Amino acid sequence: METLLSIIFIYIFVENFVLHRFFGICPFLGVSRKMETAIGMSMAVIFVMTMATLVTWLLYTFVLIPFNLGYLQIVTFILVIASLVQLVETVLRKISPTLYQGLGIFLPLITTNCAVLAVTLLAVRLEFAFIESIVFALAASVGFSLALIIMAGIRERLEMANMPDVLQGSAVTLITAGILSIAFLGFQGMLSL
Amino acid sequence: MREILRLSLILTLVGIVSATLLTAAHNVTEPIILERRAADYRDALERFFPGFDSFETEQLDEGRFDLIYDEDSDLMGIMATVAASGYDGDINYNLALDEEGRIIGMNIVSHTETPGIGDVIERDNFQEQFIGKSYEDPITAGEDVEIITGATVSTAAMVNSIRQTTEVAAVNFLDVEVVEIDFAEVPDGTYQGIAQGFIGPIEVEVEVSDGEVVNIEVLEHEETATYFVEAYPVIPERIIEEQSLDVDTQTGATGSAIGIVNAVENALLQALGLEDEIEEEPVEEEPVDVDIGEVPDGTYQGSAEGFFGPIVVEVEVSGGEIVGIEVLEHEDTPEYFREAYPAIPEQIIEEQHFDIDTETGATGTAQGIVNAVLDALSGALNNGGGGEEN
Amino acid sequence: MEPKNVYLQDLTRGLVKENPVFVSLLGMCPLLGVTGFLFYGFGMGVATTAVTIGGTLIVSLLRNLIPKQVRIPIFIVVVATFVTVIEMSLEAFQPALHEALGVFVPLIVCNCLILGRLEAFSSKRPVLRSVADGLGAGLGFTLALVILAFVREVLGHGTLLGPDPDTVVQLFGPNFEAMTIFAQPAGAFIALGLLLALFNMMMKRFNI
Repeated sequence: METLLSIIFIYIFVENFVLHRFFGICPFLGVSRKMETAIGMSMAVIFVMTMATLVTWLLYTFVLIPFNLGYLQIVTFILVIASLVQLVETVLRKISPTLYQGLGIFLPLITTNCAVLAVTLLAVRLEFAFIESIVFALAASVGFSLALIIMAGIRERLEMANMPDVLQGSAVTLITAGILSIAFLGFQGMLSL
Repeated sequence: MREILRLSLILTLVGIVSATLLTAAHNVTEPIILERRAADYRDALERFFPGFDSFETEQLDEGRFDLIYDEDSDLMGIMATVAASGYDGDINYNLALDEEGRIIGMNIVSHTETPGIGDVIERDNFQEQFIGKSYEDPITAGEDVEIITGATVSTAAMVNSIRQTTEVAAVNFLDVEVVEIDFAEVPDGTYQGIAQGFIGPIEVEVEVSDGEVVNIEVLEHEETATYFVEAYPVIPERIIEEQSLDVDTQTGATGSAIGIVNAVENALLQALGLEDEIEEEPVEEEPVDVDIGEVPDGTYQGSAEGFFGPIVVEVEVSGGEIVGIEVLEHEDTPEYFREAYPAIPEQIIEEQHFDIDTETGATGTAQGIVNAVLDALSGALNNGGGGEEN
Repeated sequence: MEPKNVYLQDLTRGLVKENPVFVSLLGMCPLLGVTGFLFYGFGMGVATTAVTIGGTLIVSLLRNLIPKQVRIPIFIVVVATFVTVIEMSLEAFQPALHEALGVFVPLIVCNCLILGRLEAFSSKRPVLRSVADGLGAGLGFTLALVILAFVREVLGHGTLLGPDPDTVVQLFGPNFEAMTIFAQPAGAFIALGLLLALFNMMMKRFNI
């Protein structure tokens, strides 16, 4: 239990996927313009990351390792993620059109969100057990969402700020992310596994 | 339907081609990777054990220990591959010990400590202070090695891990006797003991009654309070419950937990007369005292070891009093150096003696300055009072 | 337009005018993640370029055989295959670099720069032009990595060609206090943000 709680705290705050590990920067910059889209993306990422880690962990432990195929890791993991995204999209469209309207447009984007592949790879590289992997994926995706939503909140206000036009857009977003990252430095060293 | 079949067939085909290619690539690169790893490790061994012939691997809970042999199959030493729990994850390192358990050197394999702060553990100045030390030495922060202010957690973790590793290696491979304590043999009474914790010494009081340890109290410690609660009172409770010192010390504060166990052991050893009285507080550098009043007027230079290198000072004496102290050269980190300079010289000039408080943010540097001033003045006195007057 | 010119155009387009980083903001994760030292940034650039060339070559060769409906999964498999080969080679021949880049090597798969080139260019154009285009995009990405890594290493560590003790050059003497923040994640964001602003300013100035 203690390990699980540590994993949750560490991957939400201490080793935040976006602000400390640099995973998922593209969506972090791309969809943080509006709070609404940020929340939609967050939900989609939490769902896909957790599902993907669940599947890849089982696949890795019970298929790739026993058959000595560890080197096929990257290919299989990315295929799992891509098919999972496709599957979720199809199922959502059939079962819950409202949810699909909310998350649908974000799903294709997730395949190229490196945070998802990173979480699946790290779960096996850090040698987490099954439950730990799931919790790790959940925490990492919540950490991602936290950063994304904070950023969206800031950017909605930045829109109205007066600044030199060379800074506008991505430049100021990156600098803001840097300051946010400094704030998260405060969590460094509080816990480690 | 037929279309779907065709597409899946194509996808499968692509997958098979890809897997085949990767298998081929894997078969080519894997032997190279394995050979390269082995070669790297042999290179590392060669650096510490020149001319070694073979090694034998022993896997212990604490890590991997390779016993290194020369051509005549004589033990040359031990190479330990262990992990210390640092500020931000594990610090993996090799520790090379000679055949008598003395440290020859170390090699940080990987770490994730903060760049520019925790990575001082990679610096030679930090690592060299361990060379020549063995399981018989305290290897304790503040006694025979120093931790680095500003990177306390990273460096203290290394110090503790190195101490533990030298002990583990000595006990397991160098036939060092471990004194087993039988609680039943300890006469009733209350005993005090002391041992190194994570940051500073931990002092305990142990009460023994009817051959059982009935109470353990920590009298003094310097550990961080928030971590210490993880080890105390849990560890004493475990010792009392199990009536053994062989308790699980894996807590949120393992360093402190091991410290408590060792302090209890120390107390019981004394009770059994197996160890001398409580060790005196670590003796500071031989207190050279100089009577400033005897130093003739003049300007003198002296030097002493600072934290990272020699500190050279110039001392001006006038009318039997020190009137000026200037540091001419030093190699310590500027930001820490500022903590000691000019505060320490000012204090010496004000108090006109050397028994001053050097506990600053940069104790090593502060003590270095004091020693350099002492060196300058004792040099002045030894030169027949003439001095190198300028 | 002369055919030779077309190749040159495909090649140079990615360098400045359509630089994947400064203009399209692609491949941000490795860009920020591995640029603590110049050597790492350059290594990542070369690895990414190699994968891009491989991907564009195969995809443009097979462009008429790949069914439209499943092109994305096929692209992904092709890229992932090259990435795995690159990762194996790095581990075999550049172990220190492999260790330092860590999980960012497999993450090259997710670099939208590569999939972007495959989807937008290679799947419709002949081999040579596609490869020229891929090489250009890869070089543009490498350029951005090298610039950012240069800034971060000089400011954050005060060195060049580190951290290998055999090649490292101390730039500012022993009493230099490095701006550690640039070696840390926060500094990566800030440095890249400022570089972007600088790039925007120059683009405006020279009306590119």
